[in-house]
Amino acid sequence: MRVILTGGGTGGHVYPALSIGEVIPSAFPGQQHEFLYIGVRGRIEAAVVPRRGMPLKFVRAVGYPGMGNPAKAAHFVGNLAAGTARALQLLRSFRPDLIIATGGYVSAPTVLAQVMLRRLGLSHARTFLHEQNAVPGQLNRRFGRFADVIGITFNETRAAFPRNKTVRVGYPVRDTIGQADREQARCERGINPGDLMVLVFGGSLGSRSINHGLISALPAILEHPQIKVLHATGNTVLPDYHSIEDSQRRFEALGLAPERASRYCAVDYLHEIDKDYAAADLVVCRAGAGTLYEIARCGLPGVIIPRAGLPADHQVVNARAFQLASGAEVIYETVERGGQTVNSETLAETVVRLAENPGLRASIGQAARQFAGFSARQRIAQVLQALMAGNMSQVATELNSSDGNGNHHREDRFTIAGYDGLIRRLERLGAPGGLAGIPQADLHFLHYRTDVYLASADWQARNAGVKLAGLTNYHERIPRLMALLDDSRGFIRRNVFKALEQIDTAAPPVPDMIRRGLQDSYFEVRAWAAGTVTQLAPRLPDSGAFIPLLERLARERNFEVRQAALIALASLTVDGERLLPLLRENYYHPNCRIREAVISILGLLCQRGALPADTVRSELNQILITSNDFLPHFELKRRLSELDSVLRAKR
Amino acid sequence: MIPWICKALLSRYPDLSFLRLADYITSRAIFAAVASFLLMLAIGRPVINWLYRRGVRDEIREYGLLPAWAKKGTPTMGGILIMGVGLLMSLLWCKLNAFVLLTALAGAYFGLVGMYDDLLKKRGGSSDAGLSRSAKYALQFGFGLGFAALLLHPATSPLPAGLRTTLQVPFFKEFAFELSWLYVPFVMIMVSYAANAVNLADGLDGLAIVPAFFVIIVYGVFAYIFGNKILAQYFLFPYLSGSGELAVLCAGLLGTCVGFLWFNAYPAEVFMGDSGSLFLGGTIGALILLLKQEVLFFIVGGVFLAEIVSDVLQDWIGIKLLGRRILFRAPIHHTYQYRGIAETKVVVRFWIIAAILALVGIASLKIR
Repeated sequence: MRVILTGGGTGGHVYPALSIGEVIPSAFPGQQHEFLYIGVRGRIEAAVVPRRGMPLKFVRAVGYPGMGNPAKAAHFVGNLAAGTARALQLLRSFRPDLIIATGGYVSAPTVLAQVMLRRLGLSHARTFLHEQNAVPGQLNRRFGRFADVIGITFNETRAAFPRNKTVRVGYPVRDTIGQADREQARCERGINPGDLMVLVFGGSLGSRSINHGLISALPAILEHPQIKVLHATGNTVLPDYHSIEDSQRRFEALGLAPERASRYCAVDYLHEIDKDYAAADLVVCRAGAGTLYEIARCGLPGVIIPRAGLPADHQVVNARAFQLASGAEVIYETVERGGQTVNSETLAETVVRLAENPGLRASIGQAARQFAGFSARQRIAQVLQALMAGNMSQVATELNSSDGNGNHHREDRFTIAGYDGLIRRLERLGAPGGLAGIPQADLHFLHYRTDVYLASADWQARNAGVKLAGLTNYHERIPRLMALLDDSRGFIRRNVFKALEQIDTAAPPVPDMIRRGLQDSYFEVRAWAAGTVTQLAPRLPDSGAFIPLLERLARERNFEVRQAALIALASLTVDGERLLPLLRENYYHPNCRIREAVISILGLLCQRGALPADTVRSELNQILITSNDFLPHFELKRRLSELDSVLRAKR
Repeated sequence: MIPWICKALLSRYPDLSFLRLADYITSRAIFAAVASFLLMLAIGRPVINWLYRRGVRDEIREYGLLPAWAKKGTPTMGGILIMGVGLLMSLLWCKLNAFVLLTALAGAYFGLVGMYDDLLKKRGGSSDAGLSRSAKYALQFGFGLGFAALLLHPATSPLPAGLRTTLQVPFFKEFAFELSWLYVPFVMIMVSYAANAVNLADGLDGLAIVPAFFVIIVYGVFAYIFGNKILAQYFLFPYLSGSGELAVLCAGLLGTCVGFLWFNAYPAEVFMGDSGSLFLGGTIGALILLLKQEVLFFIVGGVFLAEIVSDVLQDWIGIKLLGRRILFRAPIHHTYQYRGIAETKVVVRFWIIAAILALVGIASLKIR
């Protein structure tokens, strides 16, 4: 059988392709197998594939930049066209029977060329597309329907692909994972039976944010006397960051007591990760699909720290999917404009909590094991055999039903929604008041997304972040909202005050923010800041300080500002007489909305006893009362709603 | 059609001399206006009921939940009434020359695009389910391109050769720009401008139909004068042979507009929808181009200009680019409502402005 493998750009696409390649000889025994790998020059596949002794050819391709920038889009299209032309040549000369594509832009030209040849009747090859992540990449999303089978790793991905061609095959992890002997592994690593080994690593290259976060968390973690930490720092050497040296320096700076320091061990790379898994009791790791399937295979409880800001935020989506299936803990990175960090307090708290609760660890590990309760390699072999034999649909139905069609995952309202969707959903829930009903895990996720949007360079996303901060009651981000008062977009500054009203706190720096809002150059900001004063009035410290500012606004020409300022003043005033001159200026205001506000204010002051009823009565005689706006009243519709309530009562 | 029938009858029965009335533009114009108004009254109610029964309604949810002040649930797509009666009457009472046919073509095309949009919205159940912005512009500009070709090609253009690509400026006698090839994009922009402007104005009861009525009066008068050799000479305008038929068409539309207002007056029993506003806009777009009075439309259709300028200012420059509001609300009629002026008053004020602008437009005939 002649097989083409393609996919790459990152290890996450190359290794599954190679693993699927390894499955083929055993799936189709008694045949000659010839392989060709198609990749892109200079990417990781160029280094990895020849080491496995597999022939490698190159095509041109670049990542999909979106269609916003015409120059970049043209560059993309040009490369894709050139790459596809080359792939057509390669396919015509190699004449494959099977094409395995694992996504990434690298496999785009080959898949596209295959679609063309298939349309022209020049190729009989079958195509197997493997999607590693819970949210499909651009390429797989577009080309999925042309493939004969799509193998997915998370049930969450089903919706993106044609139902009858999609099978959950999982992620083909190395055979040795989950096979090592625990006792022997622990013995080799000097772990005593009563010890609790925490394995921490951030993917093959390591992770700066996890390294920093873990080391800052160590004093708190190592306070727990049984914990031993094995930390793989990765071997990253950048001009500003040397992972090993930096981690060592930070660890030494902690100045831990020798006993505690001895329970921490840092290495650059986990050369025998299968044994490390076997020895571990708890894993702190990234949310690459491969890593998640490895810890699931080993039945390990995980503290998952998804890397933020990847395409389509796929690690975060993976982590959410894994969390829903296994109950693993997820800690989101804190996203700020400068980059990401891991909150060390949260990390320490989570690790210690799991360390102290063996029952919880066991149940998470058990659920994780069930999540990957099958051999991905076996399933892939089965699917490929069916694909070549032509009874794919039957096998797909069988496998999908044995998988319960993903019925173990509950509906996820938030993960894949964009910011508009999130805002709509939260508003429908009645947030922030209605937030009580949603799980903590969802709230953490919403706060993470809010951080991402708040740090965005796109102003509409920042604006959405501000709205979400209010809707999710995110009072930790008030300082960030304050910084956004310098934003050049009026809507953002305006919505900061809406968010403050929803968060509903008058604690500093809120009074300062209001003061700045009242002096903003954009009229809606001034008006909304005045509205915030009205809402927070009873709790605002030193509220008298706002009065001169508001009095100035109450004389503005812009009626929206004037109206809001008058109402805010009324909410602050105890002495109605002081406000009267200002109100009197508006008794003949040409805009009836102002006069409407004046009348409500008089009523309010009277109710509060700030003005005697006689004064109010005599004031009312001086106000211009005209017939301006009205609410229509359609009698037919009123009677209809009457009838409707009768019908409702009958039901 | 009717002039042709009358002529045939007259040649067989010379005694029916009153049929000669059908030869005069003025008398046919009056007949067309009255007939279309009466037809509108006659079929208005059944058509509205039919639309209601078919569920062509504005954002219908559950009826019992509607508050007593809500206008939601009003039948929409009344544009098919305007389009049906307007086109029927123009074909019936006009002599079918290139002026009339090109105007009817533009109206019908835009009316059908609007109808398609209305149906999409009905099916999608929301006002966001209509044609996408880019699809709308593609359909409008595509038509503009074809329309420019028809206006410029000697076989189809009703305009004299020297006049085709010029741009007349109102209030200036000798002033005309030669646009040459730039005339093609100019046609595309003007047609799309007219259609979108009327479309935007269609936001309050009677707000689109009455200003459109005034615009049509002005262009009807112009069409009559340009099509009359003596009058054209007297007012120092180029004589456009056959444009008098457009006066009949305009008269038919005027009757239709008034007939529609009968039902559309506040509180409206029917909305015109995109089918109506685009039909009117497309028709007006064709009129201004065929009568070579494009610039005049910015004055006569000042209400429409205000609507479109306020919308562009707010939506494209303010909200999309600067990230803030420039006006309180847009299009402009919503600003007045927001400031507490009742809908009926806003509408009447816009009518007054439209009427005054129409007078200014008429004055441009003589004051040059």
